[in-house]
Amino acid sequence: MGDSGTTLPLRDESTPIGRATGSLRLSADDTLPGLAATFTYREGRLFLRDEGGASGVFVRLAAPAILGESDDFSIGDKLLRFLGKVPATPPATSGSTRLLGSARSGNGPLLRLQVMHLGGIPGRVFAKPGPIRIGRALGEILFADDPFVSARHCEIDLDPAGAILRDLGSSNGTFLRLPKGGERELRPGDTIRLGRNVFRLE
Amino acid sequence: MILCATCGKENVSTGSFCHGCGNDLRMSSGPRRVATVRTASPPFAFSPPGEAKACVVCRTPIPDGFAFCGACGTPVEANVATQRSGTMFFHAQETPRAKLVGIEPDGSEGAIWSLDGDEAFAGRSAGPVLLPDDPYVSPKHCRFFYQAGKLHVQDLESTNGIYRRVRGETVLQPGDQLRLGRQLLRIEPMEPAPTQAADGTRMWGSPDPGYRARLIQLLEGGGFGEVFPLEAGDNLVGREVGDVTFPGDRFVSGRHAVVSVAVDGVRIRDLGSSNGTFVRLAAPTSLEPGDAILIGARLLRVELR
Repeated sequence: MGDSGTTLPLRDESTPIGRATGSLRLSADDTLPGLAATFTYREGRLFLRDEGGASGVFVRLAAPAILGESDDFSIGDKLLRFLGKVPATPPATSGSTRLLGSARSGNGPLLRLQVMHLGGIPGRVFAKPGPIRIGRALGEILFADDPFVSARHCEIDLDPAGAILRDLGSSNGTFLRLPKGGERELRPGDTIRLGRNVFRLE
Repeated sequence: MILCATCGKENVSTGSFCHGCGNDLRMSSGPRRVATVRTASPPFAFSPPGEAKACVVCRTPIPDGFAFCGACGTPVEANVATQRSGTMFFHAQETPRAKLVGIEPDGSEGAIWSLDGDEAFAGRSAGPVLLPDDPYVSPKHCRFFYQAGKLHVQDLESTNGIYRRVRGETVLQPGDQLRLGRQLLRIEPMEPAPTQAADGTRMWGSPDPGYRARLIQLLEGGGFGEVFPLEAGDNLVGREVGDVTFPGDRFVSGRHAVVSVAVDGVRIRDLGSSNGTFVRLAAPTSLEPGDAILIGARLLRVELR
């Protein structure tokens, strides 16, 4: 992130992008499938569609977004998966034997967040009450070793609408993955992430 | 005071062998460590200094509840066997009976149950080891019995099981459950190889640190909480510092335990924590004097009568 690299023009009505096929080839990236995504112009507007590869297509968050269960997002070189929430502690029923378990911080719901590693290896899971602030130096979840994560990077909070992911003015942005096979409109200035590559739309 | 590097047991400075596991304390590399700082949580002691037995090999006194002679490393079991075959017991054919001592949250000794019969039940409504006030104890929780001259305990499909305090190094099996502080954890193996899609691509993600196993936090009221992936080698469990941390749990010691992940298995050892590390007993298990077990939230210590 930083300096501009190769410029990839989007002239055609439809431009596929991937490792092996398409007019935009990214052969050096082994995390990308042959066909990863397609840019399409329709009625003067530009759309980006995920073609179902394992690595997905990420778009930088411009406004807070609702996180669904097992939605992926990315900050710095970290890939994070929202695992949903653990409901509030059920009230104890008298008489029956209570199931033993780890003490919880408070009785409210917990949000679970998992670090995903290269190759889809599941990593550390955090389970904390909202709001969870994520950053390099400040917050409830810290990635001190990642120079691409800002001191205060993003946060997740529980809202009546669901879990909300919000960027906290980070330098490199928070990227939300498109649903598999999903499509969304792009605007000038939007930044997208495909495997190890990051592109800005101009 | 010397802390045994293998099991974390506190030994007197003059001893050559650990009282807890028989490890040779003279071979310990590095400086001899002093006891770790106690947490704010109530510490509980193992056996109080009782009637000292003498080692049959070197005649050094062995305090009650210790498994090995501190001077020559001879197991106490050998001692007991030798003494029983000798003239010390009038009824040599009788199995030595045990008792259970309830340890209160403040560390003091509470109720004592003598296990005189061949078997005894424990539970919220089954006696003689009756624990009526603990909602984590099942009505008929477990059974104590004598076999081959030793006290055994068997879980009777209770909701929350029986846990024994780790002394020395304990091998963990996949699915084993641990209790430490106010935490309940389960250990699971992990597939080491990154998974590749059919077309040879790998899912993009954070760099792979090479995890081999993971500890899963099982929450009060059900459900999974945090998950701690473990790397090959030693993984430190502690309150604030380490690979597996529980910052809010003041019953976890600063440096509590070490989980070692190797090709031949996963092992855990306690680092002399104030409140201990406990492993769930999967099958009927023999208990030694000085063993501490958790039934529900109740801590009991096994002693010879």
